[in-house]
Amino acid sequence: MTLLAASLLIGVLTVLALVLSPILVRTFARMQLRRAGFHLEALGHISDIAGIETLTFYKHRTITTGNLVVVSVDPFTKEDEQDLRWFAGALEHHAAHPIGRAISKLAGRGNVSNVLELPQGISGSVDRHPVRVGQPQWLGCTSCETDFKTVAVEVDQRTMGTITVADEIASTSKKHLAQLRDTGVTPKLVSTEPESVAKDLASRVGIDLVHDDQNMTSTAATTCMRMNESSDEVAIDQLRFTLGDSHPLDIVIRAIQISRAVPKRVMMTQVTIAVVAALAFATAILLF
Amino acid sequence: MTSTVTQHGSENNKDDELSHSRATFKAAMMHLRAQQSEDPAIGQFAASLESNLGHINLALTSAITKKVTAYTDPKATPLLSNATAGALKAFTESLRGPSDTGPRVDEYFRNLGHNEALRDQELIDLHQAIQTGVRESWKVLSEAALIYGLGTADLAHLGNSIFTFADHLLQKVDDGRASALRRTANHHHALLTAIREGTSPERLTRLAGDANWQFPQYVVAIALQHEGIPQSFPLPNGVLTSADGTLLLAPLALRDLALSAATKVSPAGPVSVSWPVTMDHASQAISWTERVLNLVERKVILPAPVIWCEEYRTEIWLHAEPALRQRLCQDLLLPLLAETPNSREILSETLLAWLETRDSAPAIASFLGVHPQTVRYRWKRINELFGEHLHDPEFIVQITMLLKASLPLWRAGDQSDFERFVAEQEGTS
Repeated sequence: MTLLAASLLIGVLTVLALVLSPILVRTFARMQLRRAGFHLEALGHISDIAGIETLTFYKHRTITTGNLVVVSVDPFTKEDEQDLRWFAGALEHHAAHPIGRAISKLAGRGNVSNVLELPQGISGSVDRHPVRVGQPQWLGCTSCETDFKTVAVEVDQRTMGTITVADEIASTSKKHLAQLRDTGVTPKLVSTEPESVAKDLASRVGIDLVHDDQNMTSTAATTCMRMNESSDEVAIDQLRFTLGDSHPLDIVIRAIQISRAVPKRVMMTQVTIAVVAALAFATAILLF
Repeated sequence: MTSTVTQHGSENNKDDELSHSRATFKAAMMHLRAQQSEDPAIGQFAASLESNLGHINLALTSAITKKVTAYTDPKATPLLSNATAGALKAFTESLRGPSDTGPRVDEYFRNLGHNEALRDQELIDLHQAIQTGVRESWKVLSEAALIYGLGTADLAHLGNSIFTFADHLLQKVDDGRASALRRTANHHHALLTAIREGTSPERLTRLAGDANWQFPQYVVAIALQHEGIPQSFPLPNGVLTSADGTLLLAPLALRDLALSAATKVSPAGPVSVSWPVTMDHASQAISWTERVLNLVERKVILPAPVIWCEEYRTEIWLHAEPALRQRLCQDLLLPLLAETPNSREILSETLLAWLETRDSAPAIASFLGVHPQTVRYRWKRINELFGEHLHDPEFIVQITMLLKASLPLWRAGDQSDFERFVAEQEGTS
């Protein structure tokens, strides 16, 4: 009679533990995600995250820093390259525009006067030489027009060449993309820019390009990540989370890793419960 | 002590002489009064004076020699006596009607002024002597007139005549001096013009003689830009001036005095001063001073109250031949003239800095206050413009001199070289 009662108790407890274990594991995972900066409204969303196969995101603050860098200096005559860098760089130290700030890194400061910043570009005197840097059309160089952010440079009323700037790629981009791939997620870049510009960026980072920004929707296998430009809020489809000091891709990768570990942990927990129950049953037989 | 006693003795003698003359004249007048009618006219009074002019003259001479230091010397007494005698005679004659003596006395007093000018003397003593003589005359004649019994109206007429006559004499003296100064100045102007323009040694010697000018061993030219020294300005004797007063040629010993006079007239300047030269080079010295003023006007030389030509010898030399400079400019700097004024100026100053120093780009950049890359860029442009010419030593020498002369002009805004180039281009096309 006593053995029967003990066996019944062990059986009930085992069933109860087996039923509750997935809930406990998911709750623990949710706590881990919260610590990582990822707030889930429902436990069921863990499965959504774990199911991500393709993550599509914009460039800003994911793979680019938001700044511009000079990617090409193209004088019309090869010998003019240093002059082009010097005169444009010195003048652009007085510019407030991001393109100007990028070009200013080409040279140190000089004797610059009569600076005038216009929507088309900037003009001034560098060591008493009249210099203009701006839209190629403004400087009468229509052949210099490109899809890229390209400016023409004029010194002493002679157009000397062009300078092209592009997005600065974050130093962590390649690491994050590799981590995504390691977790089985395919990263894809979505862009609103001209195709050639977007392709250039994608090739520089090593990522596939999705050239559709208006209706970036999820399919079963695709999850879209959007980032609010003006705040730290990030959305992965219906899920929203807030960035702290962390990089969005860092958080997403961590969330995917945690979510994908949940089924395995449930199974491990249930096996452990079954073993413990079996041991408890054997002990009861020996005792009674 | 002896001299003091002698001097006192001399003064006492003069006092005695003056008192004696006055007393004699008074007695003579009282005698005349006794012989005249009841209602004497001033003409009759004058006629009666004529026989006593010697006494009056003695009184006047004594008073002047006593009171005016310059005429205490006995050697001056005959001259003084002649002057006062002539003046008295002319005056008494004028009281009666038109005088024959008047013109001669006028000429005499004019000569007195003339001679004072030739002696480089002011007229203060002569004026004082005339004023003393007039006061003494009035004293003596008014007393005589009272004794003679002239009425109040005649007495007033007499006083008025005396002082008017005195003013007349003073004017003649001044005229004589001014005339002498004009004559001397004219001689100076003529001599300076001859030195400046060049003439035969014989003519120069003659002109120097006329101007009473001794050829100094060294002379200094001084030129004023804005305002000439007026004729009336007291300049040291021996300093030649031009007619408009803007040019001085002074013996070296008088340089500081002449410069001081020039800076007084034109305190803000510019006044240019040549270095000392022998008379053979006086003409060149004059042209140097004038060229310096011209360069100041063209902003090649910075203005200053006094500019010493010695400090600007290179500029004086380089700007000696403006036409030649302009021709060379058109020939050698043709590629530069096609540039904008700003580009022309900055490329020229870089080229000149390189020609003068042959330094590296950073060194030239430091000298010019620009970035080394700017100098490299400019050097590239200069090579594009002048090419192989920069390896021609003759070209290098010429262009160095040319830029040294022309660059300051361009910097000062003188675009005449550029305008000439444009005009020639348009003429060719």
